[in-house]
Amino acid sequence: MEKRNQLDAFEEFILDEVNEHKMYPSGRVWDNIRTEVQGKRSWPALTIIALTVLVALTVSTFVVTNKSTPIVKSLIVRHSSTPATATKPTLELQVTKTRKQFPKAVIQVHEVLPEMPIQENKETTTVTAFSSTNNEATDEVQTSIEAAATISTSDSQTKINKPSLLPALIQQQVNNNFDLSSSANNKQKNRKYSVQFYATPSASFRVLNDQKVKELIQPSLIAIPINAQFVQTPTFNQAVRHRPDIGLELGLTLNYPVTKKLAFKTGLQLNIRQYQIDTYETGANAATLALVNGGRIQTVSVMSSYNNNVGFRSAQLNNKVYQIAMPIGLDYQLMKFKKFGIHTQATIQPTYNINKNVYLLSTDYANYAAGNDYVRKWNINTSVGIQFSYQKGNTIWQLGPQIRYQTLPTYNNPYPIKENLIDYGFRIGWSKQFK
Amino acid sequence: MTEQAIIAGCLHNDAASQRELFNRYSPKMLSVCYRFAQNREDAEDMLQEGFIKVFTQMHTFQNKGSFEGWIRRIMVHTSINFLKKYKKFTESLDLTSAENLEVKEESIASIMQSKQVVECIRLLPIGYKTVLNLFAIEGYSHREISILLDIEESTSRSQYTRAKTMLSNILIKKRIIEAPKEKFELLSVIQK
Repeated sequence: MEKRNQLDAFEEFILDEVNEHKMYPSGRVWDNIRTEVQGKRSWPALTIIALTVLVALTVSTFVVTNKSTPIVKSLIVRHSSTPATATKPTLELQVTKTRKQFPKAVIQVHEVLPEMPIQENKETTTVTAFSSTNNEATDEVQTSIEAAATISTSDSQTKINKPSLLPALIQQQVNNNFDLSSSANNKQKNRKYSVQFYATPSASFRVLNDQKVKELIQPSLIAIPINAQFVQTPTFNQAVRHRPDIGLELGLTLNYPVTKKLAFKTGLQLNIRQYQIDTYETGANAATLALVNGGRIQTVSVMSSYNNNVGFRSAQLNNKVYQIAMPIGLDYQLMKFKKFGIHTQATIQPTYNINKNVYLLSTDYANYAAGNDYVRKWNINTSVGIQFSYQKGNTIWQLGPQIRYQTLPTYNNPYPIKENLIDYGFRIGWSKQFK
Repeated sequence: MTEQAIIAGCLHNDAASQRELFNRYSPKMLSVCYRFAQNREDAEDMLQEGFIKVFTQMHTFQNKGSFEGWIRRIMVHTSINFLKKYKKFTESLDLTSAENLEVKEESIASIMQSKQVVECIRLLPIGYKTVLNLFAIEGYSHREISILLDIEESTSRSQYTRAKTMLSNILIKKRIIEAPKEKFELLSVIQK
């Protein structure tokens, strides 16, 4: 102030004029500062994809491990004879039962006759037994039975006859085993889980609603002339030029059958949605946002380098969001043929916006400004679709159209222009069933 | 958000507070940088460097003076260092060409007067405008300027006088201010 008192009129004039002057920096300045101060923003989509793959691998490993765990049952029948008491031969049978995806159970019997050297197979008998499962059942049993007669040989060893009771014993044992396994199968047949991986390329559209702007903001902000009935304020459809763009949905779900036709499903999903905005680049200017807070209108100025009407060159903005969602829903089997089927599904998806790169339309529809601060973090999506499936063994391929709709507006409640996103996609799915 | 809340947020490296601070002060600070810079791009680079210093040196602000003044001084120092770093300032200390500065006579009515004045200051040779900016607008003394620019105090004074005269001529030519005719008329009357 002391200094200012020493200034002459000319200097004072310069000082006053200069202090009035303001300039608005371009968006890159803040981006660079933020990167320098806060560090580079990692691209969370990579993390999410990595996480999804990790979960998928873990679940798959779990599933495979469960399936390949053999159920081993051993039946030991000693077949031995001594010179003195070689009246009743005993057989040693080893029964190994392993679940495999074959329609038949195969029983192999290896008999080692006493007169042959130890562990040398002389005769191999293969018995094929059809399991009691029907055509739909895929879980079969392969049973291999090895019978080995261990004989302590000595000089005075008497020859024994080939054990004639062996087939009967084996048959009895196999029957017992099939009884056990088929009863277990019947219980498990009704509870087949499946894990589904899917990708849905989609076209992302947006639906805008400016009812609040028309009702509350325009009447209060625009000075309405006397001949107001002839004045038409532009709608956003006249003011903005938006084009849909390609989005993607990647996910993993776990399906649990509730009834024979209905399955409950839930999982994790990554959504990438985007649309393009055609606009013009201008020098940085203040754009007006009118926010409605509890019926009160609050005006906020934000910096904008884009104008809908004029500019020194055309520009294209990409409104892109990454979302992580948890689909929870139902899958209903409409038709089922031998290998083909038609399903319909509907889910509700609590969604979290993990990354934002969006531009907000100013309330007068003239400018676009960075709108990340106004994006709703949590949202809810719904999706419906039809899938045509093809089953081969335990693997099912699915193809079909899908619609996903974002039920809550993209931006927070105070922002008066309501935007809802809608994606039309085509789902490609692969699922694996397990018990 | 109050200034104290912004400062507290920035001290905790809160991105929202930093953004708020940037939004609040960047228009004025860009204007400061722009008066020192040769073009807008340089001014934005200065602003960027300055705000990084503001955020990283926030703990050194001791609430003694005004917060805006503190930021402004950082911007001025950053701008001077930028000019020194890229040798833009030292090259311009050769003032011989300054006398031949051509200014078109025109009236730019569409542009606000404050912007016109700033643009006129920017027409000055870089040595002149730096001294003028520092002394008349930022309030530095000639002694402080001499230290800051590594020049003699007398050089600072003489450059300022010349800068002021040149700026006055430019403003007159641009019809932003009127020539002081009254003095001459009065003088002629007395002489008669």
